[in-house]
Amino acid sequence: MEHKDILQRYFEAQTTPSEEQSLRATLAEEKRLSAEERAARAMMAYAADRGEQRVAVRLHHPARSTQRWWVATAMACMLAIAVGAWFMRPKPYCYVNGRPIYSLPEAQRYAQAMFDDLAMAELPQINSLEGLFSLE
Amino acid sequence: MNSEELNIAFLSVKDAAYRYAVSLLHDPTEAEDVVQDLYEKLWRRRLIVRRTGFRSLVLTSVRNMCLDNLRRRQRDRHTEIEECHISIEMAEEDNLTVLVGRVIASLPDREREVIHLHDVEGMDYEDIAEVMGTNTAAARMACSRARQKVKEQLIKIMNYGA
Repeated sequence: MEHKDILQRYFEAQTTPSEEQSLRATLAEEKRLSAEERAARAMMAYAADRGEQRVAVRLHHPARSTQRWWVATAMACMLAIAVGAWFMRPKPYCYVNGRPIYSLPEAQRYAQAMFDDLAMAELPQINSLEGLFSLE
Repeated sequence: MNSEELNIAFLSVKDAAYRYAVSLLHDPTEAEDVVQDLYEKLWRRRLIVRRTGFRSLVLTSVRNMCLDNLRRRQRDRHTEIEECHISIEMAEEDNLTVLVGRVIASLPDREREVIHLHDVEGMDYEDIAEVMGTNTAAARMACSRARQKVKEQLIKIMNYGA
């Protein structure tokens, strides 16, 4: 019989995985088995039973730590951009009626207008230096 | 390997590593510790762990760690067959499977390892030779001797009282 030959080679460790699978299936179906066949069937059943053992392992979670790293990096970048933007913000040249003036030409026009108004309204005699230094 | 690759690879081999450790140490708790310690070591070195041959690497490492534990313990693992409870009732099929475990536990170390790695873990003789630091022919011969011994002991038990 073919499976007798496979059985003998099984105990000589000469069988291939497919031959052992075939032998296992044959022995599972046979009702009347020799002592050798019962031994082989018990050994295969033992191996299958042991192969079901499982163990739990505590793993590190790289997905969560990578996610946190990216979130922290993004927040640090945003904070750096915000701080840089605060320090690099444009500063007004002056304020007119509470309104900041960021344009230099506009600020110069307002300043000139202010000086012109002062010259016309409050100190007309300054136009002549003679008047300032008169001792009489 | 990156972190995710290591976890995926280790999850696929952790049970085989555990069963192998149990077969060497005969202590499920200690075997669990060995597997967890091995994972921690691989995690710390994950950037230099190679993807190819990962299973062999894990089983070889488990073997070395278990042998270190055993040297520390200096436990005598060889039990005599006569200690098995031999009775006609034990020769029934379910009990035969249990007896197989006891007989295998009494085998010499190398034969017990080979029969576990081949029959339980389904490894071929080349991979077994790599894990055990031997050659393919020696691994096959050890498996043959182991199976013959188990067969003879089981037949002796089955015929006891017949």
